[in-house]
Amino acid sequence: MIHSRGCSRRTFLRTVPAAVAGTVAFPTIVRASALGRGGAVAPSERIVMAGIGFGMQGPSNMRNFLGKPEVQWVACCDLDDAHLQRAKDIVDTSYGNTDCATYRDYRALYARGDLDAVSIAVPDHWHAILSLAAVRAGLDVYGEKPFTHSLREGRALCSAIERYGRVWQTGSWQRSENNFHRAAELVAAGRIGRIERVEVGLPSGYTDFARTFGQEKIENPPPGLDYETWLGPAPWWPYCVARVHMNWRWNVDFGGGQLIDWIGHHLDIAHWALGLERTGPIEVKGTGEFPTSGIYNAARRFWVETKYADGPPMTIAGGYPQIQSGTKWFGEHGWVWVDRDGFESQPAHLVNEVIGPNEKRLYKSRDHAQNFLDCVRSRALTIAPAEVAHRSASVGHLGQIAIETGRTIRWDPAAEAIIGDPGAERMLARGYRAPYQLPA
Amino acid sequence: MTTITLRRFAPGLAAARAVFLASALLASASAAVTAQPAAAPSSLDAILKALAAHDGGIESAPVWSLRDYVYARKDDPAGRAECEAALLAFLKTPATPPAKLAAARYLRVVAGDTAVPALRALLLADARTADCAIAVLQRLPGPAADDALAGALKPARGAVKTALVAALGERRSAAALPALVPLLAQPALAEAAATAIGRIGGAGAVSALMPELTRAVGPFKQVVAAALLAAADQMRASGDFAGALPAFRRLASDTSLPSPLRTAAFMGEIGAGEEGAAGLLLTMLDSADPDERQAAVAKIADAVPAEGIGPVCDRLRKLPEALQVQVLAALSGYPRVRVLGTVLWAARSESPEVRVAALRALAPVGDASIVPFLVERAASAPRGLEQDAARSALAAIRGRDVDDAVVGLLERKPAPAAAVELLKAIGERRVFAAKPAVAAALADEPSAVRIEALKALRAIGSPSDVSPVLDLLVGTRDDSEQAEAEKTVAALLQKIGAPDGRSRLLRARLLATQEPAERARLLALLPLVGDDGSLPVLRRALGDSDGEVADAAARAIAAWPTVTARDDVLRLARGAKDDTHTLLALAGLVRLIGLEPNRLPEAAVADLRQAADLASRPEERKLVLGVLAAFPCEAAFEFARGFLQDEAVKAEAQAAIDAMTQRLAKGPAR
Repeated sequence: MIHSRGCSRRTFLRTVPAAVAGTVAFPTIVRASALGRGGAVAPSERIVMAGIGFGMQGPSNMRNFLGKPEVQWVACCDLDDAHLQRAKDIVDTSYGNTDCATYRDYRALYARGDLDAVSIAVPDHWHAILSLAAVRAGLDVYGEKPFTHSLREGRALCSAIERYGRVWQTGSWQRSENNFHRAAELVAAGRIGRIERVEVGLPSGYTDFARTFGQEKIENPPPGLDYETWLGPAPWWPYCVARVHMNWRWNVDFGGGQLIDWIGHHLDIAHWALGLERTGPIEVKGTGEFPTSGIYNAARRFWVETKYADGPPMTIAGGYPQIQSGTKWFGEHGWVWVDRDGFESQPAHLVNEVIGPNEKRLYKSRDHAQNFLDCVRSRALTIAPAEVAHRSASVGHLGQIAIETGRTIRWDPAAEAIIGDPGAERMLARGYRAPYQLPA
Repeated sequence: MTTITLRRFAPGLAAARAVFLASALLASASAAVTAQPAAAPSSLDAILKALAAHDGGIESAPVWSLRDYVYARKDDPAGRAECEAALLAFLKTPATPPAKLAAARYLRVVAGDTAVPALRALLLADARTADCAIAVLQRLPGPAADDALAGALKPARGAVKTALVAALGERRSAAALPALVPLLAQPALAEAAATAIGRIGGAGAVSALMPELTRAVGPFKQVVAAALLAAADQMRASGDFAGALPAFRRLASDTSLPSPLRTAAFMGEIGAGEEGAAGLLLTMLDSADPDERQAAVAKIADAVPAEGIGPVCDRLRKLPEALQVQVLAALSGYPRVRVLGTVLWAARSESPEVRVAALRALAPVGDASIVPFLVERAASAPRGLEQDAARSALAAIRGRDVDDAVVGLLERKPAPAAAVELLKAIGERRVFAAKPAVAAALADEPSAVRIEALKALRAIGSPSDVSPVLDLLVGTRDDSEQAEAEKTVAALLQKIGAPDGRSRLLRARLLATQEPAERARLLALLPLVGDDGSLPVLRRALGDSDGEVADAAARAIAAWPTVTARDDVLRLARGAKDDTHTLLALAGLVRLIGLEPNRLPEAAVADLRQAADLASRPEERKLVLGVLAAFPCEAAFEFARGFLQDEAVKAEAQAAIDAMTQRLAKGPAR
């Protein structure tokens, strides 16, 4: 069943009498002709968006939205002046003007009052605070994976999204790609019979996204970067170049290594096919290998095994060649494997089979960004809603806990509680550095 | 890079480990991370002494030594006690903040209630040390940690005080409410306190926040309102509807609050409305207050049972179009008999947005009776959202009777535009029973109908359906139709289980015909099927006296999909008399080399060298360099460097070098 969510600024503008609407702060609407689209979408129909975080995924997410005629992108927010200027340039070039506003403080951005939605692509340790504040400000959110930095934050954010009736979409864009959808649907429709086990292959090691490996000398942050705020709720670490942009994900205080970075992709797809996307495992165990030098501390190589009450066992591994990259379901009658550059099955002809309407089918989206925008209008659930994102991230968090404690974690997915292990239970949450706090 | 392992079970295989280590070595070399051997086991005192000067940078060996030491003892009571005591003592020293942070990280693993008094004292130390103590206490289960955090509230100073408040909120420490409530009156702490109280939730929190909402003004009032909303929502979620309702009502009635808060409060009110929820929702739907109306729409699916959806349907026409779109999305989850009439009405709305929303809703709630309507919409709507929605609905409505309706309409030979839509639906719906009607459509006019029939046949046909498609293929002069027929033949033959039997039918037909044009078309099909057993046929046809046949054979070999044909393609590249065949063969050879990414890179590079030797034009050398990046190795770098002086391709050579360098340095894209 598709549930409706709460209202948006755009809906509000379209549903209140003009006399009332005149009393609220109206957005600065870019003229349709200025958008170069021949005024195809009336200003009142546009979805007004802004973005936070333009160091890595933010610009490409923004470009996806900028390409949609119904979107009016009005502002960008970042703690690094260089990122902020680059983001503004992209928007201004797209619209042929210089109107894109810039912010360093997300609170000022949210206080504009003219936004419908925000796209957030910041380090993991900021996900929950920024998203919760957005939800409370009445914004719909396109948020990067992992859903949150801890399991407890994830539940708090899910509750808030439900409470405020906001639309959420996670950047688990593989769901909107044809090969992943088809693979998952083949499995869901039972083409390979009952699923006996699943293998999820993720990358391993650390990837030098920012080309800053080795720049680990402690120094003063550059003047264009508000490093104290960048650290935000995370533990205080002194600045070094390799600590921040893009490569923050190799430090568990800011990210969670490849396991957490990718769990919202390939495990999410595994869950989707098996109808496990709103529950979780009942048992998780794992091992990991860690560095012995340098500033990073996430597992470079990992092996996590999960058991589900109503699903097959899954192995999630990074750095083990026997586990093929992507998602592979093994069933009674064959297997299906999918990755970004491949989709295969045994028997081979399955990959060309059509799943008809009288079989079990999965939510279809052909365009991830468009699906989000459609749902902002209809208030329906997106293809990658909050609860689903939280449940895939949860497996990563539990895997990390299992690796760190060296114990088998028994998990109650309904109560979201670790059974019989108070030491592990305490790892479901993270503390916040003063004076940061998760909004109510 | 040296690694340490935290493991209890060992899934690794020796071979796998060797591959991993090789890749890890590559990665670490490119990452320029200093490789250091793990520190030798040492006494905890010695580790902490070395740790004390840690600056948070690359020289971090003591951190990892500490981790090893603590993890080795975390399950042993005596070891835990030793670590706890030493780490607590360390936090009191003048060690650097990063050193204390590392100590706190591992103290968190072993600390018990015995650590609480010392941690409490550290809460009053400098801000960075207090952060460490809070980080440990916040995750420590039990009331002792609550007491320590709450007890430090009074003497703590500045940001630490805020962090204590936040920590109590995150712990949902109901026992801390008496300490937190007075802080609502302290401007510096009021927002943090309200937020923490809201997170703790329950009746105590609601009681504390309700009067505060009356007193609060400005931005603080919004914080209190959000906290009250969260607290009330927790009560609702735990089943205490009566306790939550007054808070929701209080918030909803306050028109000074921002729209998102009021809307959420109205939603909470409906959610706590129990048996009266649906009635309340209808009342709100009739309201002039946009927040109230919006809340009602948002809660339809949760609050209105199937038997009560009628009044919502009745109100649809009176709602603004934007809300109609949302209500239609909600109606899509209700039983067909209750909502179909309303959704169909909306599908004829004057508003394009409403029509699209209604068509999307028809997918789950439609039945066979609406098939003609959907076909008409799909056939007549301009290309775009509305046509897409109609087609999707036609493909998605459940029921065998829907299949029958689709086939029945097609059998009545409708207008071409409608026939095209019906054939699309047959393919999407996988209606096997439609095969005779689809086969008949292969002879229909215009070609658009035949093309759609070919596509449908790919989904529902079997290898036994190939013959009529071949007839169409050899008979048509329409390029689009020919291309679709080729794809259909290939798709149908791919359904034959044994790969080596897939081209048998084509080979038989080749033997049966001498007509060159037909033979050429049949030969062109062979690479699409990819049955290696037909390669000898192509080799023979290469020498055919008819130019058209020989040309088709050469093109088929150049396009062969499997590496079995590598030598054939190489021979063709070396011996072709036609420049086009040479270029096609070279392109094919390079493509086949690229099909084996896991091959030994040096072997692939040797093949690429052969291809380059045959390349007479820059375009061909560019093809070779284009695939080189898939095989990074010293031979590949050397090969690429050899082209850096070639003006025509030096850019491609440099690009290959760059790509290989990146490939060695970087992992997969996110």
